Amino acid sequence: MNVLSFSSHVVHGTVGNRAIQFPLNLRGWNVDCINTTNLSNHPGFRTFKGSKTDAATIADIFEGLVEIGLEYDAVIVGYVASVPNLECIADILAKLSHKPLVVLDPILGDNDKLYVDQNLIPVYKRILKDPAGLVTLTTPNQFEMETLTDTKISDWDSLTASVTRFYDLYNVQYVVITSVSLDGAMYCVGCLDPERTFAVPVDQVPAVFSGSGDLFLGLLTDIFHRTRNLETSLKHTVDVVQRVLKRTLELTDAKMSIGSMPYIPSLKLVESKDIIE
Amino acid sequence: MQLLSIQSHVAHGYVGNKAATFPLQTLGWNVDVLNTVNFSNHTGYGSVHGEVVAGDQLAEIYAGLCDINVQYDALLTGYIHGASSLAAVGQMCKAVKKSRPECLWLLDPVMGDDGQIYVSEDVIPVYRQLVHSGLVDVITPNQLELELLLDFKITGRDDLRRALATLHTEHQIKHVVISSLFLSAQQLGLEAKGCIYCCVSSKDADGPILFEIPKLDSYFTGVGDLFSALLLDRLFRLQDVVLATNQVQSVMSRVLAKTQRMCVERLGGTVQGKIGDATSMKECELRIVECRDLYHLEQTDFRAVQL
Repeated sequence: MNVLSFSSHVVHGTVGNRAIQFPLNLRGWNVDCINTTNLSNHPGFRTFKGSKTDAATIADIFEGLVEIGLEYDAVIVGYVASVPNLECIADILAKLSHKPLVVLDPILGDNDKLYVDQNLIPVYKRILKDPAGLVTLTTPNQFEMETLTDTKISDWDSLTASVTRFYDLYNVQYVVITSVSLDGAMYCVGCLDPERTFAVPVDQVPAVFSGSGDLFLGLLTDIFHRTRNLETSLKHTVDVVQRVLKRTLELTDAKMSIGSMPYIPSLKLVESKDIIE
Repeated sequence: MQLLSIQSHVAHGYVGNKAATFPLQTLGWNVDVLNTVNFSNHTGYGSVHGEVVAGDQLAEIYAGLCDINVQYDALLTGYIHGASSLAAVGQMCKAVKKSRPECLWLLDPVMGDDGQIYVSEDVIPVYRQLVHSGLVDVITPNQLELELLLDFKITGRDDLRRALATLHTEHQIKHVVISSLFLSAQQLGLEAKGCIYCCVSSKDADGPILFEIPKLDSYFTGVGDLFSALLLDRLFRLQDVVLATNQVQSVMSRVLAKTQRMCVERLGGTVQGKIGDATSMKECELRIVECRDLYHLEQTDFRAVQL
């Protein structure tokens, strides 16, 4: 099984392709990474150095893969780093004639805060709307779902309204809202169509982590490709990610905090091999 | 255990960091991955796209790692494109070793193979300086690379002994592991058995030894990169280069046999990747992922003979 993954590269740490590749390798995938950044580490460490990859280089590397005749079972779109990169990846998705499973994480921000260039929003919308159906499954968090549907999610009714609006606006079969806070509890919500949605309760680990969304994205792609059953896939992925987060918390002496919560910049992925495989 | 690996990145296939990282992760290493090139695939396919990471960019990224104060237990350096990148990598590795002398540095001076040099020749003096720095713990040259480092031809057992002694005494290299020699059994003063010879020499041990490894009639890329990654792991754990090499060669023979078997299944008999032919090259990639249950094995299949 071969997957092509567009996401960030950091030398040190477990975000982007560094959080996607190792878990998928453990599950038997050959992961071809096109790195959208080449950074020493992610910004959560407070300082970082390095650069974003140019869109021209991304297009060039993809061209190299086409030249040697590669086809993929799945394609993952994670952190893209810039508007030109996302536009370049949109062109690549449109060129994939062999119809792989395409999973796109529309990374915009979290907890009511945008942390990328706001000009990415219309490009993500255009990709999700494309009449050719470029994306099979998308994984926004609550903030990203709200942004994509211009609908604030504050209760079960507004969640339903947001999902209905999503399917009115976009041409994507499956949606997973990776974290929704409702009635003081956390859920992961899966949607097969506007009428068929389900919520998986998430047992919150008391810390803030970087890279958990990328780990979720990779693991969900794996099991959804194997089972094509979104509900099974979601329950499994939530369970594995929560166990990795718990182990990470146990093994980390947190030195930073966000609000009242400890902040943990790196996941203990290597130490969670037995949980992931 | 924290390791910094400085090698090439290819999106597809298994050479450089792609061959080293996942096996080391399965062995429990947190691997920091510094990529010296960012290519679509390795050059054996006949076409390759992507970019080289310049020396100053590598130095900048390393400065970023220093800012967050990452401490390394081991350093692995492999294919580095060009003299300016190699000089930058040399600077950072020397800095790591000076601040933390117990950090184990394995340098694979990747320059060529089978009589052919495949890097620009301006890297040769830079490798010579690095090897002479007194900071490198282990080197894993092949015979051609050994000749380039020392600037003399090795045609027999005595030349080889002289080369190894020079590395230990003049250059302060603790361990030298030559994963395959071109020298024939006859040139080594041994009985011919259709084997290739792996040579291990250590400052701490009595004299250089040879392992006889049955020859596999196929050619795969990335073999040296996987070998040096596994050797660094075993040497770190076992502190015994002869035992470490024996275990690694035993793992390698299983990985190559599995790769060859899967390659034969797909190509139907032909196990030779034809340079420039993408279809056969694709099938001749090391099965790094499929071999994930082999990297930890502790078998020692080979018997050591004195050089």
